[in-house]
Amino acid sequence: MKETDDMPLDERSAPAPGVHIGAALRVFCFCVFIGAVSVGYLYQKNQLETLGREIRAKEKELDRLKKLNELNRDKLARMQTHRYLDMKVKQLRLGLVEPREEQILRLEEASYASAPRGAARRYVRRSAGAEVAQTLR
Amino acid sequence: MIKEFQSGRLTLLACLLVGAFCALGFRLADLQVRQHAELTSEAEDNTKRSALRAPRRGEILDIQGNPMAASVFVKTVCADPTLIGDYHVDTARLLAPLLQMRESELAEKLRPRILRYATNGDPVFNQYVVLKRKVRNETWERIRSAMTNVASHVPVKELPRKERRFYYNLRHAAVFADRREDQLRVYPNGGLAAHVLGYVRTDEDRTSLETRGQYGVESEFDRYLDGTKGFREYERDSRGNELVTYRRADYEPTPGMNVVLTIDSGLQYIVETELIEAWKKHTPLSVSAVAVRPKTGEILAMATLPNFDPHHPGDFQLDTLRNRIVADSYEPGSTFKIVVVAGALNDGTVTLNDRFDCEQGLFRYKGVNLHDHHGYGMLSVEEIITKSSNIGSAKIGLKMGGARLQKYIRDFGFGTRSGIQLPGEIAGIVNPMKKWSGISITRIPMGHEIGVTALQLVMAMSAIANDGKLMKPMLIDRIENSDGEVVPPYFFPTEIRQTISPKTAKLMVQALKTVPRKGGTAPQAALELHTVAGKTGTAQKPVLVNGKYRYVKGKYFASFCGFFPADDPEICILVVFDEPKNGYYGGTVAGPVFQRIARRAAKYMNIPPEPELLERLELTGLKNAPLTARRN
Repeated sequence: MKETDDMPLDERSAPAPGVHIGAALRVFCFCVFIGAVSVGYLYQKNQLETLGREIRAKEKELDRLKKLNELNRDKLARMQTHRYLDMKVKQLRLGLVEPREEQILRLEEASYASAPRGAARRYVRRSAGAEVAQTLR
Repeated sequence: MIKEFQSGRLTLLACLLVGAFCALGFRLADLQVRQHAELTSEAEDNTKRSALRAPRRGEILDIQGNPMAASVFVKTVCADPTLIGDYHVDTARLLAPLLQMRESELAEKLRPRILRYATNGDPVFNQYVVLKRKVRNETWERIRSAMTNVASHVPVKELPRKERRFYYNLRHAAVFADRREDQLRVYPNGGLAAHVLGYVRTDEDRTSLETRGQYGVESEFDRYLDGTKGFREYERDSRGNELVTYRRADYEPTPGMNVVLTIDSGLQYIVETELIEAWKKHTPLSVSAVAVRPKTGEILAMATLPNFDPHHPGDFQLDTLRNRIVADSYEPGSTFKIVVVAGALNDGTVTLNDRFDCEQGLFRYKGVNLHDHHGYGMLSVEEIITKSSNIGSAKIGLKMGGARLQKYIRDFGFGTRSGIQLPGEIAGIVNPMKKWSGISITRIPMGHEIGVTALQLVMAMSAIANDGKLMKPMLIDRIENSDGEVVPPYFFPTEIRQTISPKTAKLMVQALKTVPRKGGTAPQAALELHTVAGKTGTAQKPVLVNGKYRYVKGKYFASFCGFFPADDPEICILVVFDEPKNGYYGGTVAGPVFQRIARRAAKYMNIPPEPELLERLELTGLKNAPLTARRN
């Protein structure tokens, strides 16, 4: 029977039972989307934070290695000084002495004077506002 | 009725909620809009940080690339006494051996001290005290590790939270490193070439600790050695960790340039060790030596004793810090005869064979006596050099004339600064002719009434060795960036002038070769395998007596300046003693030192022996050397 406005309220039929699948699905998808975006955002932030920590750690390690390098360079420089080498020769009783003249064999090579000074050096040259490394031979 | 009651409650609830949200909204607007600027600033103060990043100071290298001065980054160890509390004695006991300080001194520094009183009357304690500067990183790591053991007997876990916090701060935050990066200048060779290298000091301001050159090459080339600071702006979290993602500006510091000297540290070591031996024997006021390559003017070694430790220059007297080779002038004595003889030969005024009457050792000129150390009769110009006759050189000066003599004095570089790249160089004293006395023309040729620096003298002798060409002394070979590329300014051997002709120079070499021979004044300067050409100098030293300068017995400058191999010189060396004991003649005091330095230098620099001298020593082994290897 068709419903009309003249009919009493209690005689009008109740809405059909059951869930509106479409609407529920739309709401569900929307929530999933919001959730996914949120999770994605948090995940990315977390990644950034983790990477930031890793960068800091690597920088600290690089810094430590640079300082260690400096320390070793300093040690090497000291160990290569003539004073240190002299001291070690005496300490270890190596018995090293200067060679006598007859023990020295000289081979003929191109003399120092014939090579242009600084022949193998690399010079920095300014060119159109930019510095360019140039090898001069 | 029930509906009205429910509706009323709902309305009330709604009003409360709306009211609450309005209040929150109002607060939000107040914080985000009205107080925005102030709160933003406060938030940034909490999180934003900027840090200057110090560049590593450039190195000073010798010609072989060996570091003579380098920098390492170090820490400034500080403490917050308020976090140490009553444990200052324990902390001092723990740290004193690591910091190499006295326990009592350290404990006193760690004791909390009242700085001032706040407006409410509460005392304000100092929270920052420097314990020690220039602490190496490995020592700092040991300090940090040691601090974790402070008050180890206390069962921290059983304590209330506030006390646990105190012990945590005591062990991890009470002793800390200053955020400003500092550097320690290290000189691996100790005091080697200290007067050339110089030393540095640290300038402090709120944001940085800067190393500044104070003397020597460190000072002259400070702007090249000092790099460019880097800069970083970042944010940190509540625990103080940097948030890398919020880094705004990040500029790497540019390390300083490296300065490469012409000095050879091996040769410098040879010179300094021989000077030390000479010092022990003659205990002079000072002794100096310079070694130069005549053809280029490169300074291969430059040493003065007494010297100092550039790590602690403040521990030495000011006099010791002075580079006497460029900063002191002295009357050179007979070494200066090379100027008058070279000038006279160049002008054609005399030849090597011309003879002069040396008056048997006493020459009276304008009422003033002039003596020779021995009485000589007729001497040739060459013999005047060989025997170092004062009378002979005075007569050559008289024949030459004051104007020409003055010209050659200036031409040889005396009376002007050489322009060497070291601070404090003086020009010496060359009086203009109008200030000469009546006898100056006889005194100046023998090296009196004139003040020269050791550097000027060795460069003048080098000019004779270099076919008459006076070269500018060269201390810097090049400046390099951190990639090893040579950067401007560029340094090249520079000829100043042709002082005498090459022919005259050869004649001078011929005369100077006679000095280290038997019959000359410096036989103890001769070498077995190389021919040496040189000149001795023994000059009385003027001393201030009753307000006037007078020559006093027992005070001399003794020197020898020579080069070898005489006919193709590789190196010129000057040795000067100021007030030597146990002898005072240049030939007997400075000559042997020259010989020892020259002998070792020849081997070090691989200067081949002269064949005639080699054969004279009857070394026959090499005559039968295989064809693949030829003897020089």
